[in-house]
Order: sequence, then C-alpha cells, then structure tokens
Amino acid sequence: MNVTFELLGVLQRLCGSERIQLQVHAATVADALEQLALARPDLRGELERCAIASGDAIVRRRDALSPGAVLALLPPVAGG
Amino acid sequence: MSPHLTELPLQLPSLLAEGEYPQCGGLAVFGGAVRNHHEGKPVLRLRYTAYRPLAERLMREIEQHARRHYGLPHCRVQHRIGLLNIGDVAIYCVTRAPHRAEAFDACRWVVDEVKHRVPIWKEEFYADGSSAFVQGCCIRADRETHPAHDHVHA
Repeated sequence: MNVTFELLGVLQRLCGSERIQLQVHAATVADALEQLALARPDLRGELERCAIASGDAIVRRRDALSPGAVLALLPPVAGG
Repeated sequence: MSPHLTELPLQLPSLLAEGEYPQCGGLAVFGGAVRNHHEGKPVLRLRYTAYRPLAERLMREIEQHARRHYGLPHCRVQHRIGLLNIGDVAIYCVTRAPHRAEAFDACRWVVDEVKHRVPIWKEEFYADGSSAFVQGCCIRADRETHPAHDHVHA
C-alpha cells in the first residue's frame, strides 16, 4: 500500500522535503516506520524519538495501518 | 477568539479583551520573547514551525484542563509561528482567577505544558551563519522507557 510520511521539524531539514511517499508491505504503523528506516537509514535514530500523528491524533506503533495512510512524524518538541 | 497559532505578531490587548470577568481579581500574563543567545552562542533570529492539527487541539485541551483543574473562569494561550526576530513575543498565556495564586499557578502550568507536549519546533539562526533545531521533549506515547528529562528549558 501507499503511505505518505509528513516530515516536521529537523526531519524536513534532513530530507530536504516536506514529505516522503513509500510503497510498503505493512500491517502496522511500526512496520511502515521500519520500511522507511530501511529506505532512509540516516533517519533511523530520529525516527526512534518521533511521535506519530494522523490528523489531530497521536497514533501508536502497534496501531493498524490503513491504505493511503498519511503519518506525520513529530520529532521532540520545543515550543515556547 | 484569536487563534492558538498565528504567523502574525501576537497582540496582547486582543487577548486581554476576550470576555468580561468581574469576579476575577487575579490576572496573570506570561510572555515569552526571543532572546539573543542560547548556550553561549549569539542568536540572530528563530523560526517556529508546528504540526497544526494536533497543536491546535492540544492547546485547546490544555486551556480546558487548566480551567477545570485550577477553577479558572478564563485561560488562553497563543503561540506565534514563522520567522521571529530578537525581542518578538513567541507565546502569551493569560489566566484570570478570583485570586492571584490560582492565576499564577495555572499560567506557569499552561506554559510548561505547551513546551512539553505541543508539536512546535524552534530553529535558531546564529551569528556565525549556522542554524540548529533546539533539543526538545520526546512526545512518543508508546515509548517503552522514558529517558530522563535531560535538557533544560530556559
């Protein structure tokens, strides 16, 4: 299935873009993240520290992945 | 009501004009401004970015929780995003309570919650031409272990 990863914070700088689209064979969010890490091994460390959001909600690694999912990758936050 | 996130300069008079609270003798305001240094390095400007769908929802929830927990009739927090210069205000929090203690306590709590939980990122631009994202708080909900909160918030 096709998954779109939205890149926020330092991930945008590391990738030089706002999103990455991947064709993945994945049942869960964790599976999709692992395939992203295989495609972009330079991101693996940052991905470990990311929360994942879909729309206005945080999702968990073990959650099921929907076809066409859009997952926002949220590195550690530093507002204020 | 003014938005929780905006690229426009924050307007404190607009926040203070929201609603009438004659029962409140305590009014606390916190403003966080961009300072010209970080860990010994001269800073020229900042860029704040946010993941808006979740950031706006969390800021609403933080306000609601503060109102319930501290018994506040009024609580608002607003954060600026985009490019900010030294001295620009990045965050305002306004709390109103019958007495000052709850207003102060809630104001501090709200600002801490925004710093720790809301998906906003700060990129600093230094005088030497370099830039860096400020180390932040991991907001993973399903992390097996929670590493120590090993960074300091200014």
